[in-house]
Amino acid sequence: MSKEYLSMFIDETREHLQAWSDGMISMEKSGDLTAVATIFRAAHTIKGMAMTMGYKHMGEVTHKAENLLDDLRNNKIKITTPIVDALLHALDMLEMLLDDIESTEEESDRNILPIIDELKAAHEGRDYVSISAPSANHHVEPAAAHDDLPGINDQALIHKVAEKAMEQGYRIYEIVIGFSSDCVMPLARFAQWLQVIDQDSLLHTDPDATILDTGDYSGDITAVIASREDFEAVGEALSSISSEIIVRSISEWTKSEQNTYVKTENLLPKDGHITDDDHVKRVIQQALKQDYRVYEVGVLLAETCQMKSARIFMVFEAIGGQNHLLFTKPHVQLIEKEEMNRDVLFVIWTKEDLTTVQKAIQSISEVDIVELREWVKDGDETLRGPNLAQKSDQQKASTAEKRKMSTVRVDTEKLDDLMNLVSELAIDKTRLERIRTEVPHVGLSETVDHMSRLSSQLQELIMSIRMVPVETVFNRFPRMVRDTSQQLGKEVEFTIIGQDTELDRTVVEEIGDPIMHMLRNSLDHGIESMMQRRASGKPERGHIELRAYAAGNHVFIEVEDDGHGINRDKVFKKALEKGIVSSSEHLTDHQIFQLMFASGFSTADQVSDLSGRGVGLDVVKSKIESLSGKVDVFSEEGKGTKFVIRLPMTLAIMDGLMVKIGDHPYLIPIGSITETGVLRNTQSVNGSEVVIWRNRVVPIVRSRKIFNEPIVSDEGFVVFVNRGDKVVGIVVDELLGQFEVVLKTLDQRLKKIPYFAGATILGDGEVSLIIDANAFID
Amino acid sequence: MKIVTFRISSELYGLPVDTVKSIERIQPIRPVPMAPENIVGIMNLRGVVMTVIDLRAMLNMPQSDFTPDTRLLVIKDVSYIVDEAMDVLEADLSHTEMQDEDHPLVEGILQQGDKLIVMIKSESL
Repeated sequence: MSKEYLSMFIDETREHLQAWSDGMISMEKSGDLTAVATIFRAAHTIKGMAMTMGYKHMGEVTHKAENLLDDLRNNKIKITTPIVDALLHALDMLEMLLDDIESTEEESDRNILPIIDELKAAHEGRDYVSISAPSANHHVEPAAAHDDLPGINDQALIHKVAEKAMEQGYRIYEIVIGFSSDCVMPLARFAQWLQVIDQDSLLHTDPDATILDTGDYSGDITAVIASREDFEAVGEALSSISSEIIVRSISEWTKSEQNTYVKTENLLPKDGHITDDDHVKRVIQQALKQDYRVYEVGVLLAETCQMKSARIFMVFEAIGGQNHLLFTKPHVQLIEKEEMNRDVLFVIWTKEDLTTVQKAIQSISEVDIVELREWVKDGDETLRGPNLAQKSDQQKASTAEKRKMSTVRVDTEKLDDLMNLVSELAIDKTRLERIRTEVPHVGLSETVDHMSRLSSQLQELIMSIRMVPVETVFNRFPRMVRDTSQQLGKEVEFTIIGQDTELDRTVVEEIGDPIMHMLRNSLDHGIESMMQRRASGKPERGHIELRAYAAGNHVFIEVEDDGHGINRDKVFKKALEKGIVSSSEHLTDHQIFQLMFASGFSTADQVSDLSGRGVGLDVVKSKIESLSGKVDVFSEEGKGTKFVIRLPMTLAIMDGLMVKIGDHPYLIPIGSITETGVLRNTQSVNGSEVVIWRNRVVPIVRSRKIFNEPIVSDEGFVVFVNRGDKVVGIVVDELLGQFEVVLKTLDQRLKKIPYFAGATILGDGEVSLIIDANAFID
Repeated sequence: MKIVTFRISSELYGLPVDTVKSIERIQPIRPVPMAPENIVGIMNLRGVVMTVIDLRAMLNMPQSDFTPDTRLLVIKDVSYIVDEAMDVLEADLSHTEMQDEDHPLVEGILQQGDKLIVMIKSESL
């Protein structure tokens, strides 16, 4: 198979592997057979494609998995943990094989024997014992891989089976399918096709399975299938599979009086003109009798149209689908091969009324309707109605109106640029608002009002464009929790709540690792062993919940477990050992828990596989703080632990209190402010200034002193900022009010100054520094 | 090669034209407490917060007040204050003469007609 199809193979296989992976989780959770069916389909398709591409290992693994899945979905065997494990391991192996193929373009000779054995063992309900003495050059016998495909070649036998099936109310169809010339992997498509018709109902193929399994065949295939469905339903199912498969003919077997089987004539319309005695007309009559509406449509493609057949098929799809076609000119196969001029005539049946059909066609770009007739019944006669295609200028305009794709990919840098431009606009808006007060003019005033509204709408819109659901990162956790809990020999139920919660995309990209860390922490340190849980009267199965929700301008992400909680004394002892705290310090429980976020902290009695890798919760903390967020931990001994991450919904916009220090305005982020007040009754303790605030002694910092401004008076305001339980009062000259601003980063040279988190541009165009309150607290 | 010439005090300086993004009039500058000495502050240049550096300070010259002629040279997302922007000239940089007592910021002296132009090392900015 040529390399040029490789990327297509890789992409499609990845998609199917993902479906497999998604299916696994829901299957294990609910024992859901629909999930099994999904995985089965994925496996089946991968097998087909891999075999066609000549990737024997992949084919072999999927084949074994497929056998297993087939029995599962037919309820022959029950879902067990070994089965789930085996399927997951198979999935991992396939992913590795695919990675190898992607990087080397060749299938690697990874040892797949253990996986094969494991799948077999799981299938047969044996315990799988891993034997780790594999030979690297294991050869797979491809022929043996297909013992399950039905391949009945004896004509008499087929008839016998067909008869049995008919007795049971089945109808037997003989179908000839071919592949379009651009079909890359015909047999993979065929495998897909087989899936839809359900392999069990396949009585016979010509050429037979042994030839098809070689993967080296691209001619027409005749298949005999049994189905309870009528011709229409079969036809619909078959033609919906892929545009690369062309159903050439469908005929039904009927029993003649001599007890032999005869084929009815092809039930599909033939190419040709519509004449009175043509079967097309009969079919039209048939359709009209069943209260369907039949339209004859002539369309003209734009000269510039690049993909003519794609456009035409879009037209077909818009009305009712290919299988509703009664007639096309040129023949549908020629359309498929793009062997046609710009005009196409077709007859189609549908339930839709005329205007719906007309609108549906008009919504497709580069297509013009030149003829539109409805076939009507007049007594016993079937007549063509008048041409209803009206060509007004308006219609032309609407057909020219191109239907855009519903989504576009945009470089995030462009979004950032847009954001900048809009904030500039906001600045000009404020300027205009000021000018308006100076220049009384009704028109100007109205325009400025309108512009203000537009600019805030614009800003909101851009913010919303940058938002993505946390689902994109949450998706990977179920698998990780499952694997980790198994590794640790713990049973854990994992639930996710609020995965639709949206966050700025830059934040979403960064929170994956911290959350993973906290989940691991809960699994490793939080949830007890099954024995311990039993002993303390808890359900054996632990529970971890990952929650996300928005509140105000923040998004909260919580990881909560019902484990044994944090042992306060143990944490304190450890912190003492590590020199993080001194024994004289008096700390609240909450403060002690916070110590776990200090670097180099680990309380596990045993260094497990997961912990003890030199990274801990301090990594989580620094990551979250770099995203202007906060992380907190709450715990009740014996009951469980809850980690709470608080993140700004967006990094770009923040709420702040504007204060004046000296001659300049500064912004203090609202998030770190606890309260503000008037400066009075300062006292001196050990040479440092403090105030009594809510019965607490709170140190105060004179911002003028820090910013090298002369202290001229003792009057001013205090802004109390906090981090956890630590509170500091910052003395400022004036409070100017609350502002929502766009955060701009500072130049490298200025980033080194600890007191500033960034800068912003105010409504009057002036810049203001944004204070990092943490620097005042430390 | 084309060079931008500008004046600081009474001396003429030059920079390759492609290193200078734009030349701007002076804007209100917000001082940044505790910033390095030669950083004057930050300003808003068309929606971008830009650091402003005093080229005088970098060349060890005394500070002076802004005049209507004072300009900003935008180089690599940072603005440099100069006393006046002069011309864009065509110059042959191979004639730049090195001098022993040169400042680390100075590439050399270029004689252009009757003018002496101090060429600045753009990579040191």
